[in-house]
Amino acid sequence: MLILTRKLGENIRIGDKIKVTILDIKGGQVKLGIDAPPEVAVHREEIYERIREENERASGVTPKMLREVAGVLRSTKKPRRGRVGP
Amino acid sequence: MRIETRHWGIVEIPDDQVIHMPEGLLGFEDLRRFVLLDLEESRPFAWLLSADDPEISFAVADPRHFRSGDYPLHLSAADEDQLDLTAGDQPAVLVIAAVDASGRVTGNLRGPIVLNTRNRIARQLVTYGSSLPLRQPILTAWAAPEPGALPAKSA
Repeated sequence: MLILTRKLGENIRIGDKIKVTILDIKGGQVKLGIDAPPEVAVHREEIYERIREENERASGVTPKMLREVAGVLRSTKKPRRGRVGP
Repeated sequence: MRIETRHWGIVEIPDDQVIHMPEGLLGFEDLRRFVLLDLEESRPFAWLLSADDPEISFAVADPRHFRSGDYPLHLSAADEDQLDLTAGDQPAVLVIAAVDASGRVTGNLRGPIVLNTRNRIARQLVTYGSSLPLRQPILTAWAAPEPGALPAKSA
């Protein structure tokens, strides 16, 4: 990992098109400004992390689990047909 | 394509039905090829099965099972580019389902899969700045058929 030290108001460049500016430093928080072209998605790491964790949980779902959950619902509700397309 | 699966035996899928995910799914970036198994006994869920690692599969469903009304799909230029969406393409949205600790089926509306049905390219979106939940409990009065009520798809 490349480690850089920057002061308030300074920038780093990532390639030709991405610029990160240190806008504010207060307490334990750093506010960053990010200039990037629209085709570059910029998100907080936590959002990726949460979706990644949710994918991992979802990969543990088995047909048996769905049948068991359906069994609970079946006692009170009528099956409804749905389709996943296409 | 012939895939040996743990839950559904040997599955034969025409090659033109293979779904390509150039970036895979978050956490499963190495898995790029998937097939969609739409089995009577699993509806309204279908199984998004990895063709690269058949041990990995995801239950997916139409977003309407988790949310009334249309899914608010906002695609970035990068999303459209990767899916090679052109005017007239109608991308399909699939929500990945999970089962939470209390046994409820939930759908991840935050990170849906968008599939371009024309070229079978798909991508998991990261919806940013939205309030779409990661674990939305299922809405529909859903129940699968009785086990054994339908013939198993494969031995």
